[in-house]
Amino acid sequence: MKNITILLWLIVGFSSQAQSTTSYFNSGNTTTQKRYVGASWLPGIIVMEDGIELKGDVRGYSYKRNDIKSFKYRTKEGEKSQTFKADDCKLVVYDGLIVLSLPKDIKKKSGKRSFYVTIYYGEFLSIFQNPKANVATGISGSIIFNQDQMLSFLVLKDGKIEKLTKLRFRKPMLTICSDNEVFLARTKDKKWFKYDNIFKIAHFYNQTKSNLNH
Amino acid sequence: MKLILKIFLLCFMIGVQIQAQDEINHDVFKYTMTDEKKAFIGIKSIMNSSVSINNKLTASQNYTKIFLYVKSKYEYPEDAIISNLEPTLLVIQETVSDLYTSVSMGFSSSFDIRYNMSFEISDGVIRCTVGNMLVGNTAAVNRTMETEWNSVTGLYLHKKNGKPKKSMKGITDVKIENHFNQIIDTLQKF
Repeated sequence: MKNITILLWLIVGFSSQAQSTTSYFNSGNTTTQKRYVGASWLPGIIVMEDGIELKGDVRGYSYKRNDIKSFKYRTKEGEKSQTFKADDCKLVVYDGLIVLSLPKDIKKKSGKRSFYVTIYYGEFLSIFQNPKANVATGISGSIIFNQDQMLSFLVLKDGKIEKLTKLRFRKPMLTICSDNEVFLARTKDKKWFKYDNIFKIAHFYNQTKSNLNH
Repeated sequence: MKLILKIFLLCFMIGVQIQAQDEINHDVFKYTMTDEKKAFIGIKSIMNSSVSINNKLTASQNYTKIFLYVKSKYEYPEDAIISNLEPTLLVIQETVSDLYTSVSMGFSSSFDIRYNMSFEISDGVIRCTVGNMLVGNTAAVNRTMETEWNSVTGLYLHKKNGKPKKSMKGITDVKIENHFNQIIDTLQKF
């Protein structure tokens, strides 16, 4: 009996996948348009507190204004679903979006947690959607080239969140990323260093910072 | 009791063997027809996801070789690199213009393809894996002039009766295969 139990544990160990959230770091090729965590079932992943990955169908379940409060998960259509709140998991992948579970008060490392819709997720710097951000909209009949663009984002670095807006972007970004010489050198290229490239800029910062550290 | 143990061991071995089958080494990227059929669309073909390059270099030398290759393509290689674990892993994301082509009624339509390519590096071996392939649907360009990206898990190169589709077979598949095989060739000569 003891041998069977050991064998069973071995089999379970080989078949389940424990994941660290670093494997979800993404590239900067993302739009600055508003993104939605919808309530329709889509293929997704929930990474639990213990690192176990649940792959199946995921959808947003409860909301408070623009904030997502919980997700529903099912293995496949017709199966019973489970509800997960921010305190239950580390990360959710829904419709190509990374939703991180982090402390509500980001300065504290513990305590009650909330979901943060993370448009760009990186090693040193991540960018969250700002639930209170204004969105560019045009008047009927007028031509607007940044339709539905989010006019501000939240940047997480060193346990602090800073707000970056379309109108006030370069100076605060330079202050946030002042610890990376390679990055600072590239910011002289004004065609590249602009709000519309915010995710590509963040990605370049992370990659060059990583090279400096290793 | 011994019989139960043997059954468990057998099941376990079968499981391991199935996993191992996915790791057959390929020299080139090539589309092959599967058994998956869809009404109206046809029979699905998939490309092997990885190719191994064998050489006599150390892991560190192989890493430098790949990094220099990426650097030769991009002014700032960091723009393309997603993951970098020197000297064992390098993952890049690339977007290639007009790589997905299909011909219909004499008109050819082309779309961009975005993919991740991971280079798993060890002494004497570079394993190149293509993943997360997306096609940019320029017809669905939204109001901010952004392209919509949809996942490509395979190509439907044959009709349901097994006959090749003139609009795709020998066009779409060959173009994609050539692109990835070109990367392998360049890396071998680099």
